[in-house]
Amino acid sequence: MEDKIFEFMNRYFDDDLNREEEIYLFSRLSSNDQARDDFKAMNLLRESAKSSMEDFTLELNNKAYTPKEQKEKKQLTFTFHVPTVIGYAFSIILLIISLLTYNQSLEYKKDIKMKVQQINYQNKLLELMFNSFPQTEIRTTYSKDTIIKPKS
Amino acid sequence: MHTDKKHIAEFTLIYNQFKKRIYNYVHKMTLNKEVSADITQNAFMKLYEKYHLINDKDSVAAYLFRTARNDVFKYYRNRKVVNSVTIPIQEDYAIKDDFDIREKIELDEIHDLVMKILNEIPSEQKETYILREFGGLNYCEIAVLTDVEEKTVKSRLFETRRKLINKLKKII
Repeated sequence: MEDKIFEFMNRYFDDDLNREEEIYLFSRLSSNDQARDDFKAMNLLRESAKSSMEDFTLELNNKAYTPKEQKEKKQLTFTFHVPTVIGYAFSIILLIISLLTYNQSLEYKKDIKMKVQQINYQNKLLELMFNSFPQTEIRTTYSKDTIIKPKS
Repeated sequence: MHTDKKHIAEFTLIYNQFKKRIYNYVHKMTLNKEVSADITQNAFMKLYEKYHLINDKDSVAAYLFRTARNDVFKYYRNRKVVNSVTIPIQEDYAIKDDFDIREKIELDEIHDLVMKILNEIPSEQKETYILREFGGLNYCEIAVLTDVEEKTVKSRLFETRRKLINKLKKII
């Protein structure tokens, strides 16, 4: 029952009650102190909401008509936001490290290229040296003759 | 961009009709006047650019609130302050003859308390309450905007109000 009265009260303040329901609500209110207190509190709540409603003043009107671009220009100020600053610093450090690493790898690449050239040169030199030796001739000689004799 | 005079006149009417509601919805969600003004402006700028493409003019409110809502979520994502509690500094009270300053202070205190409680409850409930109370949307419009059923909207709204009332009853 209490819940029903409370629901009716809510609907009354939201202009959702029809004539019969309104009559029912007020008849219940007249006989129920608790419901009457709730009704008073609800009324106060509504009054405070109404009184706190701010007028859309001329100042706000002017503000509303200020072109957006002008406001955006005004808002272009640096705001110190710790996580963002840390993020930027970290990304700059990463960028520097990656540049150094790339530079180092370029030097290694140059070194390897030089070493390969040296190896190729030495290889050719060795080939040339081998080719410059006199030709060798291999001859066979009898060192021990084997005489085979028949058995007597 | 469409510059037809009739459309400009229609757009001006829509602007005057919805500017306060959109601004207040965004302001209660973000608790930041500067951001609220920007998001409100952005919502109307987008509507102005797409106005000639919207055939059903009844869906203009939904379009505006959806655009503003997306920007509010974008703001939350960028700021990561979904559940923080920021109570705005009280402004000076303009004293008029027919103005009860004590009542005004009392209502402002209640409002601060409400905003504090809203920041402690689930964000869906908070958003539903703000859309209803400050955006002026009905159950059906909130359901369409937040992509849930109407009964879910009602239950979220009732639940939020119950929490608010329970806290409020302790201090009044």
